[in-house]
Amino acid sequence: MKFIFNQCINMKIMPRFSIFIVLLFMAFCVSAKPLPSLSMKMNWNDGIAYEQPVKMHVELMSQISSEKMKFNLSLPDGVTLLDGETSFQVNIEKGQPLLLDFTLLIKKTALGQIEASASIGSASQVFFRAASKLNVESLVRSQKSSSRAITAPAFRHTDRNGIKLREYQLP
Amino acid sequence: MNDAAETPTVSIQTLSLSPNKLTITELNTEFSLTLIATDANENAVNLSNGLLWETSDESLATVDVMGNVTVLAAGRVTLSVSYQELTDSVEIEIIESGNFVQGKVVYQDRKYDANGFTSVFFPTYNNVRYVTVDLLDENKNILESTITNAMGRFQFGHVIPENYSIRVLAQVDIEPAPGFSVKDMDGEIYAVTKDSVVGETIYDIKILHGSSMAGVFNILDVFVSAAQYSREAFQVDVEDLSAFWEENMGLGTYFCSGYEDGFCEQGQGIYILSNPGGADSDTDEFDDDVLLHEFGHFIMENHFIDDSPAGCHTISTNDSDLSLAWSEGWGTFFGFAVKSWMDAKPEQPLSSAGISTYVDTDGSNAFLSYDIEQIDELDIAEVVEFADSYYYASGEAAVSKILWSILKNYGIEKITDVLANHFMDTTQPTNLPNFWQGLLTSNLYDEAQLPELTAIFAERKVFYQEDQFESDDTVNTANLIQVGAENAPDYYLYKDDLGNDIDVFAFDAEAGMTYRVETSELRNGIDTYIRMLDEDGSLADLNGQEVENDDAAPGDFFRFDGSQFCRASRFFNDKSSLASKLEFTTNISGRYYVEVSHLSTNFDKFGAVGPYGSYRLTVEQVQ
Repeated sequence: MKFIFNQCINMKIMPRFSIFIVLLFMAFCVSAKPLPSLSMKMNWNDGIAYEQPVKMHVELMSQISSEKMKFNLSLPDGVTLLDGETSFQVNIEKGQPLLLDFTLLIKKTALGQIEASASIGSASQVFFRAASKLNVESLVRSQKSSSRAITAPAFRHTDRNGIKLREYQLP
Repeated sequence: MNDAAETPTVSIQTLSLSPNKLTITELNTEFSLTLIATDANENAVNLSNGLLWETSDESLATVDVMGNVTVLAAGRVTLSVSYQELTDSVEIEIIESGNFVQGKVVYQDRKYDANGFTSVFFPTYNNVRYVTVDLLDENKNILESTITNAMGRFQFGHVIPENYSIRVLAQVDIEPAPGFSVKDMDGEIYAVTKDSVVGETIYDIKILHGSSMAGVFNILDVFVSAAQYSREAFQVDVEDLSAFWEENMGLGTYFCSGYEDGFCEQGQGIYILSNPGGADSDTDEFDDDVLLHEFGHFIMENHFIDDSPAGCHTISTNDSDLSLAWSEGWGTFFGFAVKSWMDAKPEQPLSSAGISTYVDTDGSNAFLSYDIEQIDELDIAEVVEFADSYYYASGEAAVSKILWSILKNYGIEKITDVLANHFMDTTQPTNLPNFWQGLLTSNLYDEAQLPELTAIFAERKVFYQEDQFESDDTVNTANLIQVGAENAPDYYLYKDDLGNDIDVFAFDAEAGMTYRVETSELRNGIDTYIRMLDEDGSLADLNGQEVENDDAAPGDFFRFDGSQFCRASRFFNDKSSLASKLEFTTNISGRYYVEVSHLSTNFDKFGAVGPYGSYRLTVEQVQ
């Protein structure tokens, strides 16, 4: 078996590739850090709602099977769990999505984030972890709280003998 | 030198100066050092004679026979006193107050353990080493430039007290890391500036974690340490590395080798993720292990050779393209090597969980964390087909563990020799089997070490040695196997004194029947090639039927992986298509021979496969 295209430089100069193939290969010219072996998606089934039951959906995917994946859900003040558990162990199989559904009651005054995390590991150490967050802040609250937004540190663009600097002022 | 004339008669047991360290901020100052001498009964003795006072630099400070000191100029000087066999000294730092602007630059690091960042910031500040510092006037014009030393200290000389600013650049222009800098995604170098008040001359610049600039200087500091290690370990001139970091840069953390596209707009460099507002809140500027992993790619690309096709990968897959597995396994190992070196020379303290750990945090908690020494603890798969995640040459965790074991047993020199010599000379790709080949042909190879090296590889189920069925290289020594036998053993193709191994098998067949001969369960990168042989060892003639085969199926070595983990293409070691298969019908009953070798004739610069590895051979009667 002889391979032709596994060098970034080769990919770049190979004229007979279609543009699509070249674009497909371009992503391989970067040596990325190891990807996590556990991932999580969390969202509202039908959008967020207040002062009434609302469904939240969590989807987990693992690259390794484990009978004892730990799951934890952290709720901010003003959010009550109507259906589901906040902390449990569950079996997850490699490549098989694990779907979890929760029902919540969110007060309009609730402020903060729902935080979900899942982990696979030994008794003493987490090996793989995934986490996700959902904002529960109502529109009214977020308008009020926007004034509290943290201002990014001030910086200015300067020139140092032809070299461009992004210069921050320390207090 | 000042020597008192009279010799005392008492017996002195101890002699000490007080204080033993002193900082003087005014020139032309005079003061006396306090000398304490005791006799055998620990009683103080007043010595005025027989003392020898000395200064290490008379241009900076003088001392007379009575121990009176006169400070003359700025600098460091050691004053000592001797009495018979006894001696003591005091180190004096003389600072010319008002005529110097000086200080120390530090940043606040974050400490983490195996589960993520601890709530306690690193107890001490890390020095900002070897960076460019500017002294600016009130109009921000540069008056002078200097660099910080290993302790983060800088000094500008002979300036008049005014309104100054001190500007510290995230840029190193000297060894050990010339040309290193941290830039934003537009290529602008980061800098921090601190203004003075009139008359102030001593600046201690603390870059706190909350300023967001601490992360920038941690990136630079980790890379400076990695450069120091690389210079010492590999004897290479490490230079010119741009790191790109910017808040909310959500593309990922990766090393670009110069190809410019959407991921690498600023060209070669290490791009570092900062996406605290993203779905997974991941940000890497304080993840030293991640930073060192990418620096490992930088070193391999710029000073040795790296044939990795790159792309997405995880530690829990063992079916990667061999050059990808090698490159990523090397990157993680490189971090362990640097930390091991730093631990022995703690110029800058480690903030990581441990030498042999890899931790990637999401800015708070670890989402990938393992100790290569405890790698087997990760093998927690519950279903058979997914077991052995951390084994084989096609698994990056196995590569890391093998390199780590070699480092611990023999030192980095054994690895460096293969990288610097064998890898640079060979036309074969950079991967674990090629590394093994390099070990056996290395200048540092010692045959007595072979069993130990073999054991290191075998511990990760990488078998590049003789199997129990050798010698079976000819039809005369062929290994007789049964048609339809179940539970075929693993056979190894390895490197021996004569070159690369071949295995020959014999089986008895009946006339008029169709047989299938195939290899399977290929491990560690082998690409088998099978041929049917006659009794004399030549290629068999089976009435025009196919008698040799390379691949049982078309190759499938990269494909788009749209999973949550990858969402890009991934390069594989496709074991099923690397296997070989023949089907033929026999004319006569008798003994048949099949030879298994790796595809040496077409072995070229590709990375998915290698010349050694294990396989199974089965012969079945299909009709």
